[in-house]
Amino acid sequence: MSMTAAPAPPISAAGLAKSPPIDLPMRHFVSAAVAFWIFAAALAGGTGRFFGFDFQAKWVLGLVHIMTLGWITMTMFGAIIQLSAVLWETPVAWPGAVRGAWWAFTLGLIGFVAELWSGGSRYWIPAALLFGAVVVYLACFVRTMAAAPRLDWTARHLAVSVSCLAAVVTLGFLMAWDRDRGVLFRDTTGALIAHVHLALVGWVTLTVVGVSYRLVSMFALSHIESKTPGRLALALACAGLGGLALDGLFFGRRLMPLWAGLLAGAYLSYAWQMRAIFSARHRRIDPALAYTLLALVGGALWTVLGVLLACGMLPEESHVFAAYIYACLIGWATPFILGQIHKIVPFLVWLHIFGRRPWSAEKPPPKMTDLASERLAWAEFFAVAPAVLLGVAGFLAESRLVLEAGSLFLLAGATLYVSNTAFTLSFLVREGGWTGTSSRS
Amino acid sequence: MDRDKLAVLTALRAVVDPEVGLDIVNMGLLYGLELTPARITARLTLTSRGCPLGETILGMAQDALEGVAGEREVRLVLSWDPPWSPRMLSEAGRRYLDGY
Ligand code: HEM
Repeated sequence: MSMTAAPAPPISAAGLAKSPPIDLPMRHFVSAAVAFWIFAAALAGGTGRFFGFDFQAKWVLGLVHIMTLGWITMTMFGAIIQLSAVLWETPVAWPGAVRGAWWAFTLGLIGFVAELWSGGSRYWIPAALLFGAVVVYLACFVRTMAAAPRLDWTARHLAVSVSCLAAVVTLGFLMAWDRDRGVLFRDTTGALIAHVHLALVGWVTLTVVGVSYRLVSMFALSHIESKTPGRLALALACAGLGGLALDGLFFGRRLMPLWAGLLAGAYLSYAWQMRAIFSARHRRIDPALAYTLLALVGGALWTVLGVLLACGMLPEESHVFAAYIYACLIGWATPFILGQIHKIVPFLVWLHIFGRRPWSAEKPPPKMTDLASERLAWAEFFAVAPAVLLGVAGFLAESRLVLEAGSLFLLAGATLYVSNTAFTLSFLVREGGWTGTSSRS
Repeated sequence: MDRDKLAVLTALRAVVDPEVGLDIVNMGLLYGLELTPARITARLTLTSRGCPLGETILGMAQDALEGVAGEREVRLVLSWDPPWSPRMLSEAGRRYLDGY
């Protein structure tokens, strides 16, 4: 450390990243936690609806979108809004529009699921509301990115992933309109495969991957020496996904093993990059990092199932597709999200309450870990981990009993997660308030 | 090290990064310190340019320095050169994090 400092202008807070008003990301995290719990409870109560004669396609479709839109996409929107200052060095554009989009998205999702669960066929109407809401979110993100002084590695992943989201919701809306009409898509399975993969690989996975390079190395205090495996992963994922979507939509799914091979290569390169991050870490494994490791295992499971399906080594049956989608949603995306969110929510609350208070040596602020229960987080982790394996095994073996066991573990995990989030939020209620910025001024 | 500098460093050591749980000196965020009869100048960095805790950590450092500055002016200079990396953790900081 040098003990002399050349004269330089004093700092101004204006040059530093400003967090958005707390209600902006937090409303997403709270509604996402509610959706996660509803998903887990509905899964636990409805395992019979997945198999044999009792299979209920509309009910399953509603359940899948509570998970994908209500939990995963909602959390990812909240995280992008909160992280925009970190990722793009600029606050998210048009916060008022984001609030409006959150309402439209929430109401659209409720309407979509309600219509599906009541057996109706006009779910394309709430789907249009969902579509409109996502367009507003995307406009805000694109505007924010355009104002960023530079687009780093993570931001480049996000640029691709939000483009995929635009394709996903367009396709989703068209499929919802066409489902009972059958005029738009000649090969509906091909269109479904395109929608599912643009969603799960393009939107969910590329966001997770991009954010993981930034957040996991930040939380693990790790320094990335070489980004080559990550760059390769992005190139392979774009090639595999682009080929798969076009092949599914327009060319009769002729080269599926090739696209699956490229995507598997992308996952291996990503795992290699994460290995480097984990081996250079300076912090012990806490629940957040343990969840990230679990996500890497779930992601590997998902990849293996995908390759086996694409190569015809697993039958193209609905219970196998269910295992494949479950491995992605519960095995890969959910543990990753839980890991990061266990850091982000206490962080937001801490910043909002203590970031504004004058500091004093006599009464220093608490650490962020004091705003959440690590024991609850570990208990939650040990509930979610078996839920991943039992769920995939239950679907593959078409065993209602095993799936039920997995879904009860998941419900326990979701309940613990909601409790821990409520514990953290209780500090806001006790100490702070809900609205306003978190900046010191 | 003279007593004045020691007092200033001790004050900065009380400023803890609330996420990592480590003080800013052992985190390696302090790049330089200059004390004159009229002024205390601290050259600090943050773990990343967009660090969401940046304003808060600098505010805490300012409050801590004002507590020991007496009549002197406190000046914080934010420096990005070199960019912070975990290699800048002190030996004590590394040991703390290994055990944590
Ligand atoms: C406006 C938003 C969306 C709408 C309107 C929508 C609509 C639909 C429709 C109609 C289907 C069924 C297609 C068929 O069976 O022919 C479907 C399937 C699916 N969607 Fe979406 N979707 C949307 C967004 C998303 C997102 C963001 C994700 C993931 C992050 C996603 C994941 C899935 C999955 C996994 C399936 C397969 C479900 C199954 O096989 O039961 N969707 N979607």
